[in-house]
Amino acid sequence: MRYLIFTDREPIREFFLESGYEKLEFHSPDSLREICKGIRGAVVYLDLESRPFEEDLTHHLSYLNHRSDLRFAIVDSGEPTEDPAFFFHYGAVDYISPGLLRQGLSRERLEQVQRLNPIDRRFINDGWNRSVPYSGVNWEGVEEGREYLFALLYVGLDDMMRVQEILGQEGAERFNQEFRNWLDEHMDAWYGYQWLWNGWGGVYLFPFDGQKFYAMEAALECYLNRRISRFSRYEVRTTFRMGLHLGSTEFQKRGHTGNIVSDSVNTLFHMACREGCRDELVLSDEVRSHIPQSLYPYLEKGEKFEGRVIYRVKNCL
Amino acid sequence: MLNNVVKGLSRSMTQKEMIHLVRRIVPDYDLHKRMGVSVHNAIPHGDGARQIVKDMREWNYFPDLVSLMAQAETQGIHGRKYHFPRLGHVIQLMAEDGIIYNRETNSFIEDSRKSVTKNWGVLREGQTCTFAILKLDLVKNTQMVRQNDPEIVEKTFELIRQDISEIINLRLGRIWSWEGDGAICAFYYGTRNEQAVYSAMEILHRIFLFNHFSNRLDRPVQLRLAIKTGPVEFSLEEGRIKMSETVKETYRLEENHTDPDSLTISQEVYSHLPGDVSSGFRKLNLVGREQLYNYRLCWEKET
Repeated sequence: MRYLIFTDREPIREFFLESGYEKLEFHSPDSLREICKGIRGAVVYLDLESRPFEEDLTHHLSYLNHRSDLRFAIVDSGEPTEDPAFFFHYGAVDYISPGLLRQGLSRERLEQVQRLNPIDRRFINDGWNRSVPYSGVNWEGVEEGREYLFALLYVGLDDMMRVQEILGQEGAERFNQEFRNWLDEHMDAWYGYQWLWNGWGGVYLFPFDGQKFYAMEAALECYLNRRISRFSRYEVRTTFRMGLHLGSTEFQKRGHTGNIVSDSVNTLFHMACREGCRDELVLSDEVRSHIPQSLYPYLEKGEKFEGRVIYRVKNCL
Repeated sequence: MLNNVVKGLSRSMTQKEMIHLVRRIVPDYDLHKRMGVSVHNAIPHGDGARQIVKDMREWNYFPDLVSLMAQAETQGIHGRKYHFPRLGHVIQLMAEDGIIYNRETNSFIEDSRKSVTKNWGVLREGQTCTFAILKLDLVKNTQMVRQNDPEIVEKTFELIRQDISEIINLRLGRIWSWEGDGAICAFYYGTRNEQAVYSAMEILHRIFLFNHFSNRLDRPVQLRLAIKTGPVEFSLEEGRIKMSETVKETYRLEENHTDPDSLTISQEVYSHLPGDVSSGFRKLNLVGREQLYNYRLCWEKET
């Protein structure tokens, strides 16, 4: 695995080189985000004495904590930090104290850091085809006819047979339309685009740049507010289910998607439309790996489905 | 617009009916006195209607008059339904001026896409109405300020204030005051108790997401929220609003009976909630007769 050391000081550089480890890379602290943007599956060391980290440390720690595809650690060469656990609360996997800096770094220690904190292999190998680019932070660069990595959210109404019985066919369609309008209002605020709709459910596409995970925020907010939303006070009470997946698909505008063949979309439908998913939000393994680790306690590991572990967001309210 | 209302009144109602209608707004309204005519003299029908509309306009009761006329058309008054020609056109013209009619609540309210004011564009200074009052407080301890860059702290709180305003306004609530890190919000129209509770719950959920996805501070942001319903004399002066018993009581609920990350509501507010929402609240164990209910995000296996 690669080790990226962000420092502008020669003694720190020498300290790491002495370990004899081959895959060391040294970068300027100012370029943390720029460098990390294109990398998955690496351990990042931050030299706390470097200016950018001194000035806005929690900001950088927070960023790294959200990168489930990276691990990070701290090099502390100044006055020893009173509370090193502070860094571990942010998800750090190693802490190099001033004392250790004097003793020197062994290759074994670096390997141990890697061994104790494995990163999902899909990120090391990339999992996704490298030729498929991220769709980006918003829709600006997305072109029709090209394939991108998106966050795909399935949303579908439960119990529509019962709703049809109560409201009749026309009433049920009006209900369905109101549901879609309500979803559109909500998803639009998170760059969600209603891409497919078939019967009582459909798929929203969200741009994804490997970092900012709007789709997860949108889905989770929708889930948390499902009992108090405008939708929950419609003439007939029913629930809806959601499934979130990360995957690639060709982009075409709504209404022109008939010829698209996408494994990711199929996976999403199968994952979310299973029996027993009523009123739930389920996530694929790929999604879980990209959300802040602080959310893990709210997920429950489900059974494997088509070789993929599915997670369910725990119930609340 | 005024002429349409004058014509509508004079063509569809007798003078006695018009006076009855307007006394629902101003109970001691005296048309003869207003026109300087002896009670023994008759007032020409059209002139009476014109005087009523003029007075309502001058006393800022014009939306109340139009909403009563709309009610007389749809539901009737004293068992009789009236038809006012071009009333729909008047409502449309008022909407263009930024005051929209809500058929469900049979009242006018400002168009929040055009303006958001503390009185919804229609309540008058000194008017006593029943509101649902939401008090919220951002728990900002000294350690948070000391251990974080002040600029980041301020930016964080600014973002949260924006989120809160958005949620409150979308549910037809109004923020009456921001003081330090707390706010007093009011809900008047529609299902005010439910809307206040849903707003408060939504705010708690938004903060949960904020803490997990966007928080740059070294600790989670926390809020305390409380809701109580009761009469308040509306005023644009914050000091006068705070003198109201209902507002004082809401402060008390927030300060004495609400833990961080939670919402406390009074029994009366609780009684307005549908079962699937009220089941998320737990009754607080209090000494005495007061019954309060508390909500916090509770995940399965955590309760």
